[in-house]
Amino acid sequence: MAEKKIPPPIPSLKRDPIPESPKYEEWKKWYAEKFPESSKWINARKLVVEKFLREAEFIPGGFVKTRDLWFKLSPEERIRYFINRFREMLRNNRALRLYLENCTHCGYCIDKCHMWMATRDYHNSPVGRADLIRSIFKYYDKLTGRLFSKLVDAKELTEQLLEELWIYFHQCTECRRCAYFCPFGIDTAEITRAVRQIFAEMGMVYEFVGNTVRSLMLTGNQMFLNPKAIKAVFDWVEEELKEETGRDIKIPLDRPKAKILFLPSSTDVFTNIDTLKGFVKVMYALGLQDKYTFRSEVFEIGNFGLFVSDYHLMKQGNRIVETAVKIGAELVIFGECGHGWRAFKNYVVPELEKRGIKAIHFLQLVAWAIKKGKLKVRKLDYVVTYHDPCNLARAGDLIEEPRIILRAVAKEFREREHNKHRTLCCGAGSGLLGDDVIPLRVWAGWPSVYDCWKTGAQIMTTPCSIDKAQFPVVIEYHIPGQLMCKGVSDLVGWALEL
Amino acid sequence: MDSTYSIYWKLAWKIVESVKVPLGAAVFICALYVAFAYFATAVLIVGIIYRLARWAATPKGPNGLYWGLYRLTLYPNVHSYWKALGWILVRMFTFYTLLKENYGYRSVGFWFGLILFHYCIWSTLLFHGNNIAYAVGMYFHVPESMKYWLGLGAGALAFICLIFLAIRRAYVQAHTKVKINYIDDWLLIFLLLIILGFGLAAKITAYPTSFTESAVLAYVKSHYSTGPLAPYIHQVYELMREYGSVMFMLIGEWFRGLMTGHIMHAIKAMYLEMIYHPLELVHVFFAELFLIYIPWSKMIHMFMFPFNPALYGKFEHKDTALNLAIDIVEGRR
Repeated sequence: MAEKKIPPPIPSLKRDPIPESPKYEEWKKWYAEKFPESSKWINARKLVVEKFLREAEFIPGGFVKTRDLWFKLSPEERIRYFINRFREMLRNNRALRLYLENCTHCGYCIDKCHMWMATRDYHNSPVGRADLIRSIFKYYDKLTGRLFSKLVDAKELTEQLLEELWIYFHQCTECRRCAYFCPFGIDTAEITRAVRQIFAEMGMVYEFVGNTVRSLMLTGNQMFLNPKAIKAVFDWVEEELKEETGRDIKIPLDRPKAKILFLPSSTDVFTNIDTLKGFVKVMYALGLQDKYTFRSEVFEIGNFGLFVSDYHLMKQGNRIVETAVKIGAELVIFGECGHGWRAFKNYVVPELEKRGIKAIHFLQLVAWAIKKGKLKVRKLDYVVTYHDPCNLARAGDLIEEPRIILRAVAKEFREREHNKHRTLCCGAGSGLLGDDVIPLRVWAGWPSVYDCWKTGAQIMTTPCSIDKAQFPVVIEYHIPGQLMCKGVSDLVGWALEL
Repeated sequence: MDSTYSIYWKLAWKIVESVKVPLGAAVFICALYVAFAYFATAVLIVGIIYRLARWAATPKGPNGLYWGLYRLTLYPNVHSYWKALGWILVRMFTFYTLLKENYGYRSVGFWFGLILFHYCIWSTLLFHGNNIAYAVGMYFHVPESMKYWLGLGAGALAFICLIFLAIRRAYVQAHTKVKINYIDDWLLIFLLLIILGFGLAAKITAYPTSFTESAVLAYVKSHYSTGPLAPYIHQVYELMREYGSVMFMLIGEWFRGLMTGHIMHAIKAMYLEMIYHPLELVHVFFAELFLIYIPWSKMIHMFMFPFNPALYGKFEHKDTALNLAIDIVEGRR
């Protein structure tokens, strides 16, 4: 019998959270059996069904500029397309050029990346990942790259390199933690978005993301919900609220006109019902029940377009703007979502403002209402901690509001070690939520869960739908039953006295 | 110009002008320290302008957005261009993100080495600026001991920090098993080490051990009593008291020749350096190479900040939205 190779020794960090997991030893054995030859971890599944791609609007002649879809291209054509498009991007995207040209390879970003923490893989560090594309950049854009390719690590694009680009740029969660620590602010997430966009243009998308974008394009939400399904859940939630509060709280859907357009995450009618309840209870308590509406055509604040292409991001954003204009909204309230807030704040809000419409995050409203005594809340008998979602804390301007709320509604609020701008990623950002990548997810998300677990809190709260889908999986794997993950609005709903 | 200073300045010119340079040395110096110096400076200036123009000419992205985003914000609550600029400048000048704690660890050593290295390098460049000032007759007088110790101190600290940073590079790669060091990284470090090393060695040998009159006199006698400067030994002593070192003065004369187009004067000044301070020639040659390399390497990073994407885009004002929400809640709208 051939001797099994053991995984490469894991470089230790000061107070490394990875070996702190009760599952660490078991995982090491599993890793050795599963990946004896490779450190590449998982090759995220590719999406290559033509009908599927068309429905997700990865279609030739429209968004896609190539002559045909990825799976119909020969290897040479793939390489040629990638290079041509990449060089075009370099001419047209300043951020990409700046980030590729200015890294001095100080290596400071390496241990800031949870993906590197989880895999200890060379290319799964920010600098290692960016160097994959940087080596191509040097070869095709720099004279020295052509002349002294081996000396300056310039590489001609090959099929193998293209495969590595696919693998590793689909294992970056675009959390931008590396960018925050980087002395130059080099944003690897933007490099990732560029590379993914090229793949998407070739009709090549990671399966979970492709499914989600397909739903987004077809229905305006990411869970294939139609208006009837939403209404059915709303009716059931209304009944539950009646039982819980004794109040007749209506959840308005598809009102033709309303002052306020409320955007929830579509998962709020599936797994995060308590979040939805929190929203509607607050709106009821603030006397806004007759002034707002949910709309089935934009029943989504998530925007997976952020992880695929500017075309998809803007298309969903424009739908929100059009709907807000159509119903005569003056204000758009954004529910709980992390990545969606980044797309919303940096695309939808400026577009809304052009049309005289303002936008606000739900937590900003709740924090104000609690401070002003507009909401009566009791202290819940829980010790809670808070996971800052990357896209809310790093440049999302939402750092203090959740803390104001949690201090008001919980018996005790405990700050975790890596908070605010230094927050750790959930490990499933950028759409890395597929079941096929669970072995990766449970380790990429562990540092954040561990950070919360260390505080001794009973509940880790987070106003992000991806977090709320990811953390229960991570908790269940490492420390089952020892921590609960809930949205901030969930707790507000529980604590609110009507 | 101060009249005393003017006398020294003219005297230095006159002494250098009186030197006869052998043909072979003249050709050698003309090639490496005149033609190549002009070439290096031209490449530096044109290269930097080219790189900056290329960045400036590259649009943000399709539709004037960064792949669908108006802004690539990285710091919270940045609602104006000046605040964004402030964040970037603070980060640039303090390297504060290196001090942020991560898994119970702050990279204090890295931060200290990096900040000291950069400040020392910039200080030494500033001190070199006095040579340029000399060349255009705007020399800023600095007491010779201060000139020696400040220059030596900054250069030595930069040298030590560079060695520390190079070791750290190797350590990070070995420890994390992430390849961060390529030949071009080592080439840059090698060039800087050579420039700093020879610059320091030249400085140490160009100054007397102390700055008392007798020590300076003894130094002048032992170093300049033979060769082309021997007939001017008394004037050389006076010039040393004024400029701190003959090496400094000669480099100033070299710059003066180059900047005024008196090529033979520059050759003569460098010829004297070759005879009396040969280490300085190595320092200058590698510095010229470095100037050529700057625009085409990652050294261009120092010019990046005006183009930082965080500076550009639409700055939003969340308070106005909250005020509207309050108005709606309180029934004013």
